[in-house]
Amino acid sequence: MKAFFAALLFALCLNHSVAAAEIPDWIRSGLSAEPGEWAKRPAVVAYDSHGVSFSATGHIVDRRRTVLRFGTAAGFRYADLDFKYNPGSEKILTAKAWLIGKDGKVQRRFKRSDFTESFATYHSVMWDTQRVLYLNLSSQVTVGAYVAFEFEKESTDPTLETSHWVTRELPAHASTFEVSPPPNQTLQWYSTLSPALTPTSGDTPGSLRWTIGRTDKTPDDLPPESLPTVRAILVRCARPVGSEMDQSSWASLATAVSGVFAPATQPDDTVRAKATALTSGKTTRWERIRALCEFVQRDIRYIQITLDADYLAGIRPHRAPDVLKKRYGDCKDKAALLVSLLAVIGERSHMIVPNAGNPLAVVEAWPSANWFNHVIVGIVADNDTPPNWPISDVGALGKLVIFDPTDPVSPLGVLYSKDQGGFALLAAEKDGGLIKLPFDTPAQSTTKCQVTATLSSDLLLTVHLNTANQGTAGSESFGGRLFNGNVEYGRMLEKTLHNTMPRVNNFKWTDAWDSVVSRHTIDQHFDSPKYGKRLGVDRLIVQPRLLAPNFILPRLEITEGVIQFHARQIDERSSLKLPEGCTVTELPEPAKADRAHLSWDIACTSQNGELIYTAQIRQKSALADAKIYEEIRRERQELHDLLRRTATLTLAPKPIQPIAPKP
Amino acid sequence: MASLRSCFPCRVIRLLSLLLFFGLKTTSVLAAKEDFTWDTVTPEELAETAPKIEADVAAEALLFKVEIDDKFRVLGDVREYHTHQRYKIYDPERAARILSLADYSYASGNKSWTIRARLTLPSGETTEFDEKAFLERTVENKAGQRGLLALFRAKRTEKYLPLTGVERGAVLEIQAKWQAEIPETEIWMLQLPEIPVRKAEYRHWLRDSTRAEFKVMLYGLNGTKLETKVLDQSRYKIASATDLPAIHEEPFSGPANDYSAMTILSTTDKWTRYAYTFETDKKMQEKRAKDARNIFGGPWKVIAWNLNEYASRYADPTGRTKKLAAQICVNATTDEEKARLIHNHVLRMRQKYIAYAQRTPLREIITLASSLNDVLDFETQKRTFSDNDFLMLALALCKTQGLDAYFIALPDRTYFRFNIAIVSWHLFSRYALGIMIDGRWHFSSPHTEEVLPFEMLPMRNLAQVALVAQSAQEFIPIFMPPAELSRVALTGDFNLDSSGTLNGEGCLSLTGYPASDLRLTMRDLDEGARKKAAKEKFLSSNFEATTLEVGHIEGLDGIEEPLKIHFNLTWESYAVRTPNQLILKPSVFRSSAQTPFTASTRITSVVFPFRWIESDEVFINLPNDYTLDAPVGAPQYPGQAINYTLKLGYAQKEHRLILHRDYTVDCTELKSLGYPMLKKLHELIQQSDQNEIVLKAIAPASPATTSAQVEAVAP
Repeated sequence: MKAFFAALLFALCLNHSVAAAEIPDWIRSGLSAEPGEWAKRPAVVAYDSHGVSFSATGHIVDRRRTVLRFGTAAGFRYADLDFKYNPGSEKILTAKAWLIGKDGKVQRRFKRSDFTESFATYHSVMWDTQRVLYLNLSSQVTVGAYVAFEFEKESTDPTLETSHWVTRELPAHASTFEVSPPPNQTLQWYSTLSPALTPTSGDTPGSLRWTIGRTDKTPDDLPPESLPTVRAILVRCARPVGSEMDQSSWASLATAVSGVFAPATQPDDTVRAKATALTSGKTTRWERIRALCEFVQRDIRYIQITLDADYLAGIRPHRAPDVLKKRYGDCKDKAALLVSLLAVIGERSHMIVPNAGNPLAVVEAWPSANWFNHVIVGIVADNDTPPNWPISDVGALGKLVIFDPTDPVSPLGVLYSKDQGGFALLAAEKDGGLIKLPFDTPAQSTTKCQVTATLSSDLLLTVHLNTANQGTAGSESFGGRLFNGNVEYGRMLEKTLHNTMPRVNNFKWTDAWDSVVSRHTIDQHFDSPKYGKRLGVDRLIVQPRLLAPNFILPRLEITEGVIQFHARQIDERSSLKLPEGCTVTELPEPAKADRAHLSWDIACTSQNGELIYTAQIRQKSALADAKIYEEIRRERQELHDLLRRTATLTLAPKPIQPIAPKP
Repeated sequence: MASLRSCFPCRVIRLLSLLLFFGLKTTSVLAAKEDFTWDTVTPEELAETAPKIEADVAAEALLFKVEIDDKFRVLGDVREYHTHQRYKIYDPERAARILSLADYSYASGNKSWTIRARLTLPSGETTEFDEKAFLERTVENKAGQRGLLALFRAKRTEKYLPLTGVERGAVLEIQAKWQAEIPETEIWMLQLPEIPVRKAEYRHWLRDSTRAEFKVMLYGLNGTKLETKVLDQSRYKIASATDLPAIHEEPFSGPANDYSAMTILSTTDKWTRYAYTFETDKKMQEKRAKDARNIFGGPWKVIAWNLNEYASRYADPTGRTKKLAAQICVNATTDEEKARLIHNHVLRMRQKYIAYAQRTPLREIITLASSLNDVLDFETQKRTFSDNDFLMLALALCKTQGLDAYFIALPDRTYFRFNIAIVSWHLFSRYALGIMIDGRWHFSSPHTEEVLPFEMLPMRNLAQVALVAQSAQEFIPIFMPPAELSRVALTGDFNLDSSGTLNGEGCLSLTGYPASDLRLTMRDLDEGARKKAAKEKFLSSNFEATTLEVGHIEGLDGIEEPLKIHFNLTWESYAVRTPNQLILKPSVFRSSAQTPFTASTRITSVVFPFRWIESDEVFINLPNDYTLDAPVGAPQYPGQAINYTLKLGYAQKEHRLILHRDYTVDCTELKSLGYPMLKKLHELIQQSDQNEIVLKAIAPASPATTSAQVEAVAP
């Protein structure tokens, strides 16, 4: 019996020591990282290694090992682990996690069956086969504790390409990225990190390893609208294994992508019939094209359904006849249908692949389909093309009018602001490649603001405000109207008026939209009592610029990334009819300037009992780093100071009322 | 092993599993075979071109109908639902977004869910969307689960109907049917955001209501427009309404039934069942028999009695609580002081527990309540405790000190206005202590996550009533704490230079609810994130300085003492410069603030979250080369419910402006009828806050000659 207990005890001890020894070395390495000054940070990456190995058969094994340390309760949310994969083309090899106390002892281990699997994309208009494995340990971690996890998946992607993104969501002590090529192959790489990192040899022949040193997280006060800097290491095999995507140059990639798109753009009888029906009665070329653009934009609902699971699933559009029949599709489906409809009426157009939302996302030096996230259309321009339309000169294929059929409000002739200014891939069998999409000029996004106001002798201001937004400004303004609805939009207008006018009575408004010129006109009527600043008995100080947007920008510390400014042309005219007998005693001087990013011409005059103020303001497009942002901020501050200068009026003396004798 | 395979329990388990499996399948098959019938879309409906109830809406619901049928099943009663919506579309682009036509997705473990849609175009062409039109995918399952277990496990699936092709003038109908367990409280909103409803109908067939403990009530909470009927000996409930406007969001809006017609159908059987559970306990049986005579009052008495039983059982003072209470209250001279000290002690303990739980791995234990000694020893227990455990401790400490303290249940006013006629324990969202001292109720909520001083209950539980846990039905009113307890004080000492730039330092001091809110936000953040939170939540939203740097933060761990945030600001071109004048707004902190009531119209009552006071004190040192141009007055709008005063002075010796601004909201709610007055008052306040004074340049040769004392002047 004693022997039995001794054996049991020995077995238990052995089991315990085995369990303790089961902590992999990489986790130990993470536990030994000294938190130092980062000890009180909410969460810190104590260890991070990313390994990728390519096989000769087009398989990629991608492994991520990470140890997180939690310094405060605010960091617990990072213990919510998730890992995306596509079961159609990817296989999970490993999914493990460890919960480790601050004493370095493993409290719990989690294996794959402890993870929950769900769909990765949940959106009202998106449906795909992507899945996510997740494990939420945020309620189990404590201050000073660690969570380690390892994910490994195998995918089939003959492009044999991978990347490592330095996201800087959390401070990291160090991270490594290692890529192994198939036997007898070499790797190509490109790094956007600054300063540039040079790899060393990895563990296997031909492999490369990058060691990224201690990096702090992105500053807390980075403006939310700033565009992030691309911080990535991009690696691929010198010779891919039979991929349809030849990424050796932008031209070859354009040909390959065109090959994927082409089958979807083939029209059938239904597409032909629709194109004919939509364009019947249209006399000019651009009228016909507009009819097709409007149909795809308005009558094909945006729904992204991706049922294919292979490596080209995200690129391959549905067939145009199917999209037409179902009346829904995503950006590439809509673009394919439009190209197909245009072809039926004899118009040449091309599908163009940009990165919507970040004009700096595409790295010119590294041809890859992975840079892009959207598909739009380029239609061949001619001499009748209005000059203020968005046009890209793409070389041998001529000039193209760029149109986004996915954006529901930007009509033909206006390019959605998020599509502007970046590199895009022109998908064409021949002469395609990387092109630059245009930025708006100020004349392509204009606002005309006319205020006609009357000031009565008891200082009641009666105002008619007419605002005409045209081009990109027009579509954006109309978009706000469309998405907010009648009641909410009216309330937004009232709220905006209150920014400059504390009292607003008898407010009424109407609006109109002209899609051909992308003009949204808003008429507002209201009155405001006790207007102006009364000084003494007869002086009144007023701002001749009665109502208009604020140009002030806050001072920001932009430590990385850029802030995008869109071009805008604003023409303002205010005429204020003064009360009987009122005279103007002081007016602001005219001001005119042409600065690097902003120009203005401001004048204020008085004639026939009216105070007339005019201003023409032009702002250019800009991608502003810290220096440029501060320049723009100063220019706008200067403009702001000029715009709110005051005029002094002298009111007519009120007739003296005879005092009735007391009875 | 062979014997195990054939053993009886194993066979029973397998049989039960198979029954369950086929039972589920049968339900699913039956539901899938459900027929959907469609009413004819009339030519008049198709011919309509404009909305009838509200102009310029994207769609109108011609019908919004909910039918519910409670059915008896051997494996448990079920509730069958059938919803039918018929929409007339006026603007497909907007309607697509509002109705989420492309988003008829839902996640449900309930395989009985079926849904159909029919689209009738203005031409009369009809498209029906049946099962084939759906896409389906698994919502979640345990990763790596394989084999028989995975087969038996009911998968949660999501269905998705890409529903498009809607044209202007089309009529879209959507019907859904599903089954579920009978909930204790069934709530439906019959109005829709941004879409008016021409006809809303709620029909409910109840199961046989002969069982005594089953009580059902149906209420239309909003209003005048909802008619209710009860037929078939109270078995058939109907609520209907016509021409309901769309729901539009408004600032300071109140409970959901303020802006939407709602039905609430409540059953009291669960609580009665709890009461029976208590009855099975012998001790309870005896106690109840003793108390039976004393349980009186209306239909809430069972709930009140049960709450009292819970409190008596788990807040029974122990020797240690007695000792602790004596230690806490050793210097207290009044009952109110005792109650306050106990509140603060338990609150600090609760906060300490939260911090402890963040540092220490704990065993998760779910119990109805823990023993008081365990709560006191939480640091040695290594297990989780609920917030109510701390409330029970506070109750026990109060009782020990002889205070007349009660466990009280609080309804949530953000859901719906409490209606004493709707009996359901689901209407209570939180619990607290009510302490009767010298004929006045005092309140304590030391157990919540937020740090609430004595007398303050969570915002969502204010301005209603509370049910007192005792052997009778008694509701007590819960008033909003006085405005003085929730103060937002801003002080600033600034210099204005000749260029019009303002710079200097200030302090934001918060007490009461605003402090509690920010303390909760900041508690788990590091210093940088705390400063960012303070800046975003209170400072940047109030004034638009060029730079604003948050400095020292004081009183983060306090309860009644203020939370203070110090800051420095620079505001370029704060004052407008003319050739010989500087025009500035002395109310620096409110100079760009806007009235919250900008809309001309208002549908619902204005419901304030709490009463509060804003008080600003600003000193501005004026540039030496400028002097006041003319005396200026500051308007004042004194009132009882909302009070606003602004005092502006000029200290000649220091050449500085002094501003005192007070704004008090001392009311709970204002009906929409009074909205125009409220709007006007706040517009006047905005005008007053943006009041400007004019400084004129002094010629270099001549020193300042005039410096008038500026007094507050009524308009």
